[in-house]
Parts: sequence; C-alpha cells; structure tokens
Amino acid sequence: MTAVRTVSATRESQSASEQPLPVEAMRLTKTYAGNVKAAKDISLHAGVGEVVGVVGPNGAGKSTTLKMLATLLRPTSGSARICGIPTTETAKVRPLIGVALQDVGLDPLMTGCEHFQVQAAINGFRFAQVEARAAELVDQFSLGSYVKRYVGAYSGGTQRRLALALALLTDPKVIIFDEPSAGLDPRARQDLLGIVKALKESGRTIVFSTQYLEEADALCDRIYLIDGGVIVANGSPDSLKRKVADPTLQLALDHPSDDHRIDAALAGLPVDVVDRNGNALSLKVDESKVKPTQVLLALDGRGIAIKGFRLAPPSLDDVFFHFTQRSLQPEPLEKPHMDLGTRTHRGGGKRWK
Amino acid sequence: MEVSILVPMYWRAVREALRVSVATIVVPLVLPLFMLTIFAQLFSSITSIPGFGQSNAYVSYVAPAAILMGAMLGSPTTGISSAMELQTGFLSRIQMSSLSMFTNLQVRRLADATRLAAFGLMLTAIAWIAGAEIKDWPLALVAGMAFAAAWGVAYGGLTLSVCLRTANIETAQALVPLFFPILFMSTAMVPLKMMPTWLQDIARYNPVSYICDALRSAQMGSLDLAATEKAIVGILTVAAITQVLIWLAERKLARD
Repeated sequence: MTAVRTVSATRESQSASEQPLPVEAMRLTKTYAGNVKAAKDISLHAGVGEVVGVVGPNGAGKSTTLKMLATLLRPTSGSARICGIPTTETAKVRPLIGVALQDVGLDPLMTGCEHFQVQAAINGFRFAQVEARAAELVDQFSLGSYVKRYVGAYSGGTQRRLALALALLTDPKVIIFDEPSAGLDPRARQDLLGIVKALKESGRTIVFSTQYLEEADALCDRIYLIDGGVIVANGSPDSLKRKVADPTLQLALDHPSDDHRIDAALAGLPVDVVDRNGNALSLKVDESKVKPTQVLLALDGRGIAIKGFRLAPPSLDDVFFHFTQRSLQPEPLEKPHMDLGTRTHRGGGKRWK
Repeated sequence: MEVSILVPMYWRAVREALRVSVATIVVPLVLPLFMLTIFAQLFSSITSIPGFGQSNAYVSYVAPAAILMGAMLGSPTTGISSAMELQTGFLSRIQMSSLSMFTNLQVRRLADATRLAAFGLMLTAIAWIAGAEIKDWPLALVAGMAFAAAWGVAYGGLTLSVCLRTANIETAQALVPLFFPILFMSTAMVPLKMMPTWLQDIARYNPVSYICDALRSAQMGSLDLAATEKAIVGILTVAAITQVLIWLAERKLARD
C-alpha cells in the first residue's frame, strides 16, 4: 500500500513538474526609440498559485516588464510564455490572462455597467454568461453605487477598483496587476490585500508590480527587485532579508541606563548600537557570531534589567537599499487623465474639450 | 474573432457619439446650416452672372456642398475617440481582446458612417426647407446619405491616422480647417467655368467636384452616371490613401 502511494505521489509530482509554468520570462529586453533601455535581460517566473511581486521605484521598468508579459508590448529581445504559450501567440495567451494596468484603461463616456458588458464581449462572452460574476465583483469591490454612472465622474480610487474588477471578470488563470493599489485609500488597499489572498487560495497565479514594500512583504511568495530596468535581486521576502542584513534586537530597559554600562556590557560582542533613547535600546546583531540570548545575558551581567525584547527582522527597504544604495519611497500617482467633470448618464455637465 | 463582439462595440461607438452630441452632432451641422440659410441667400444673385449656367436657385447649387461640409466637419470623431482611448489606456483593453486594432477602428468608422449618413438625410431635408429643389426624393436621400457617409469616412481617415500617431485630440482639431480649401477648390460653390484656370485644374482632380455633381444630378432626378463613377473612384482613392496612413500609424503603435 505504501509502495503504491509512493509511486502515485511520484507520478503526481512528475506531472506537476511537467506542467508549464503559468508565467515565465527569459531575458526580456525592451529598448524604446532613442536607445532608451526600459528593461534589460529580465528573467522571472511564477508557479501555480504563486503571488510574485515586481518591486521598484517609478521608472524602474516594472510597467514595461508587465506589459511585455501581458502581450501589450513586443520585447526587443528575449521571450515570455504564459502557461507554456509564447506571448507572441497573442490570440491564445490573452484569454488566459486578466490584466489591470497602471493606466486604468477605462472609457470616461461609459458607465461601469457598460464596461462589464464590453469587457465580456471583448473576451468572447455574452454578458448573460458572466452576469453573476459581474454582480459578485461589483459587491466585492464596493462598486454598487457607481456602476450606473459615467466612469469619468469616478474618483481615481474607484476607477482603479473597477479596472481590477474587470480584469477578474472571466476568471483568468494568470492575473497581471500593475500598481494595483495606487490611488486606493488605506481601507481599499486592505480590501485589495484580502482579494489577492483569496485569488491566491483559489489557485490563481498573480504577478503584480508595486512601490509599496509592506504590500509586497505581506502578499508575495517571491519578489523581484527591479531598478534601472534590471532585476537586482529576487527571492522570497524572508530569504532576501536574510541575505542582506542582520536582525535588530530591540530592547525595552527597566530604567534608563547609562551609556558606559551598556558599552561595557557589549564590549567584545559583534553587535552595533543602532539607537539608544531613554529606556529603548536597538542593537544590530551578527547572528553568525553571537546569539541574541548571549547579548541579553551580557547586559544582565552588568545589572541592566530588561523589561522586554524583540528580534526585528530587516525590512525590504533595507534589502532595496543594500542592492541599490537608495531607499524605495513610493511616489504618489497622478489621477488618470480622464476627468470629464461630474457628468452622469442622466446628462448634464461638461462635454468634450 | 467572434462576430458577436462587433455588435456591442458598434453600439458603444454610437452611444458615445450621442452622449457627446454637442460635439459630434450639433457643432458639425452649424456651418452647413449657415451655408444653406445665410450664405446661399446672400449670394443668391450669383446664378444670374453669365457663365454660371444654372437656372435653379443658388441654394440648390450649394446643397451638396453643405452635405459634404457636414460630413467633413463630423468626420474626426473616430480619430478623437482613438486619441482618447490611447490616452486613457482603453485601447490596451481592446488590444487584449480577440478584436484586432483594424476591426476595432472599422467598427468605430461604421458608427461614424451611420451618423454621417444621418447628416446627409438631415441636410437634404434642410436644404429643401431653405428653398432647394428636390425632384426625386428617394434618389436624393439615398445619394445624400451614401456620399456623406462614404466621403466622411474616407476623409476622416486622415484625422484618424494623425490621432493614432500623436494620441492628441488637439491635432484632430488642427486639421478641421482643411475642409475649407478642399471645398472651395472644387465645383462645390461655383461651376468650373467661373474659376480661374489654375483653380479649374485643381478642381478637376478634386473628388469633391464629382461628388457635388453626382449629388446635384440625384436631387434633380437623373443621376449623372459619369460624375457618380468619378465620385466613387475619387472616394475610393482617398480611402485607400488614408487607409495606408492608418495602417502605418497602427504599425508604429504596435512597434512602440
């Protein structure tokens, strides 16, 4: 029985390994006019049910990379496959992917409801076939009170929510989101995290770009850090953090301690004092040479009473800084260029300029 | 590609044109209305100048010019819509579908043709109200609608190609005054004999001359087949040239 189970498990694993990766890019390069290289030799992949983040500052090449994966931009060199199909075979690839780009891609003269209808049509469905799914998405993205209004009258955040909902209308296997949380308020961003997690649990593969490191940290199985069109590092958030920086030992002391006693306690230990402020003390600990408990004992040995402590891992910003020598601060995105006033489908308001 | 995609996309374009009806319907009709009601009355005595060679009222003579003017002024809609779609990213959404860029644009142009055909119908009726003679209504209406739609779409291809290249609505607006020399360097306003020689040479190669001749003959109840043939050849030539420009713009777009 055990032998049978083992053989069966091996076959399953073989068949799984033979399945093409949902997303695979090999040395993608995009050079724009004027020899501007927006992406250079980008190689990345995403497995079934994986959430992969492409993280970098504005102008790093995230959108270019995602557009090449989404079949919207022809790479200058290199290749990409979606579920094993080359992205050059657009007619086969496009039905497999749901895309929400940084430009929300909405028509200001159409209502939200009409967008769902057109999205169904351009995906080859009759609206009746996806109506239930559309209603579900309207609820999920809190669009109920907006769907009958012209999209030009939506706020930037609402437009983005609609764009995300449209990308999910036909239940695509692979989802590509470019800066999905840009323009969303904190609550909507929190909701988005929940939606992405639910999509992951349902086996969807998600590739998304972001400038928000905490978002990438919370959602991604793997991260590709990109800067200047080049991937500077990749791995799981934890492995990246482990790779580049030591954890910080954050201590809460019982009483403010004098610097001499602390220095004496730490003398000879491979630690760096990062911060000392009253009762708080932060130390960078080289874990390969000393255990945090040894540091605690050394402090205790000098009569420094410790009320509490926490071993804080390095942040992704530390990781980004390590590879690029600069911090990754998200920049506010402009509202999409579709402000046509406050017109609704009942008429009135401004007209085309 | 499923044909079922085309129907919603067509209605989407029609619906949009109606939603911005001031820009797509009212504004393009203002000048033709002015031409039929004010301009034609102001220059009504022109028909008595020796060499004019027309016994009807001047409004009958310029009625085809008003129809073509309406078509040309109403033709940039597809170009403007495409520029907006490029700006908002909606064209990327369309690109993600099985609908090719070419088909998407042709569906939009078909919606434009519908609107311009309606212009042809309306302006023929308005011309009659303004005093133009219509001897064969069915023929006049069919010719007015067909030529307005066909010429408008062929000519509008120029704006479309420029808008696809620039993604800029202002460029479409910059091309609007082009209708003026095209119309005046044809037999739309005066017969060939009344033009200076150098202008006669231009008017002979201007398809608008032949479209106007064909429309006039249709309104008089006897279609001038020779003029109609030349008009169709002229429209097809302009359509082919603008289609090449559109195709080149599409290629640039795909490349970028």
